[in-house]
Amino acid sequence: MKPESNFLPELPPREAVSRDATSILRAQLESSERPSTFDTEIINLLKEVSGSESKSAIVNELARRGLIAGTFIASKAIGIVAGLGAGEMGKNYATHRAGEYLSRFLLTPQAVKGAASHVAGGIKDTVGKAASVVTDALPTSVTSGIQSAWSSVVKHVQDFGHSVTTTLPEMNGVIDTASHKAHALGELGDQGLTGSVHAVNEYVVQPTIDVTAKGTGYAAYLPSATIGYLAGSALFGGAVGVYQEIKKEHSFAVVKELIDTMESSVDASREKRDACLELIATFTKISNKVKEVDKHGYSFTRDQWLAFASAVREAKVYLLRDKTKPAEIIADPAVKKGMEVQNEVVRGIIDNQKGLTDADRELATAILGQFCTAISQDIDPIMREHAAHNHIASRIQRYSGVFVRKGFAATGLPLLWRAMKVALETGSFAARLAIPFIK
Amino acid sequence: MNEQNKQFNMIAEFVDDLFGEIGIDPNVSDFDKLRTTIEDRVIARVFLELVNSLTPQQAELVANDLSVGEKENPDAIFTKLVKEIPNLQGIIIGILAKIRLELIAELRVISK
Repeated sequence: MKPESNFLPELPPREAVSRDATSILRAQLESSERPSTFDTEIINLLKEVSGSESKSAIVNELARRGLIAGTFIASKAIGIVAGLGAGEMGKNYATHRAGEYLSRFLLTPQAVKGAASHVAGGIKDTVGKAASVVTDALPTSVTSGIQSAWSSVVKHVQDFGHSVTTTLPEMNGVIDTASHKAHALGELGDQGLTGSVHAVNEYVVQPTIDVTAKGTGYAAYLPSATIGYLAGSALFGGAVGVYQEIKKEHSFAVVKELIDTMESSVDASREKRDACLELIATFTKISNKVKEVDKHGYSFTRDQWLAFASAVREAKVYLLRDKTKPAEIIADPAVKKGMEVQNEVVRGIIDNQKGLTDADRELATAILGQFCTAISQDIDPIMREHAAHNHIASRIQRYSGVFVRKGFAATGLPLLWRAMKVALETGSFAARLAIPFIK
Repeated sequence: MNEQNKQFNMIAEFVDDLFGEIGIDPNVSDFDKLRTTIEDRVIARVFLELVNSLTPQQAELVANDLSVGEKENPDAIFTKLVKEIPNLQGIIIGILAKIRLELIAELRVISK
């Protein structure tokens, strides 16, 4: 008999965008499914608000719709709790990830800037300001929930000032912190929940660039909500108002050109544009026409390029996941008759999985390409990435399995494999326990 | 059984356990292909996360080794550097736990 140990609920169909924002967010939290980051709704929404004076108005509106940050909370919370079940190793992992997550969770852009410039003395002040901002920004119903987690977060915000890349100091209260957070989420009412998403967005949106600017290569740890924000919304959705806000902050001058290029290349008769496809198309276009791009003076910094590559990967993964939805319908017991349909489902899954594998490989290539000094540093990062990609991609394709296996061997992990399996099983159990809190 | 086979079996075992849990029938069409594909998927994810865990200096070493070192043993530098990643075991557990959830969600349709 098939064990029922899978704690993930059924994947929900993509939600109709006309639903109440809070219920969408709740559904996302309950399912821990990726939010509909790339929905046309968000694009339209961004267009609507693109005339707004301040970016915060835009972010607030997104947060109010509850479309961005739900999964960020849920996936991180599950990750933390799953780690907790994994014994001592899991605890270390949880310490690392929880610290990383929680420090970002309530960081203001100011705090990140303070950290990025290594002004250690300024960190405490920034934290203090952040605390008051948080308190001021949130409705009372949320404040109490957030406050319960806040005290344990402060320490990690301070640690963040030293480094976002190294393992944070042992966090004795990690379990308390995680459960406080879970409780805080659980105790929030509908309005409060939306409010907390607001808070998350306020502090998540901006740090991406700053964090990657440190050249850490931590792209895959970029909050997916942020990547989604970049990929699905402003930059490639045609919301020039948002672009202007980002340009002010990050000198994303190249983006306007990209948007212009895309606007002219998109078939005007298409009613719905898919931001994912456009993003990927742009990426491909750039990669294929490196010299032409360079001639026009496009220039990404490393961090911008990394954010771009991460966003493309995120878009690909989203599309690939989205494409499996029809397979799910086919697989409905009432519909799935005969081997032919079954074969089709399996083939579809295989293709999809290959695509996901490629997406991961490509991002790994992009990350390594950023650090390839064997290719001249003088050339534009786009060109460098392109050149490095040619060198690296094929070898990653061939050798990543060797790398990983050797890496495992180097750690003695094969010997710990049995223990890991127990940890994984315990982790899923712990995560299942966490579900009620997240709800 | 040599060392490499043992290492290989570790990932294969992960996938086998996963298939068992989801309840994928070994007689399903293209089962072997599916299995290989999923193993690749797991490897690619672990690789991405490990690359992502390297410091810039380490990443530079790996990137340069990959881009110019056609003749050398491809795993030498990476193997050395991976050992320096803090809390590597915890990270790998986390990666496997996470991709396990993803795969369960993506593959369970086959078992229905």
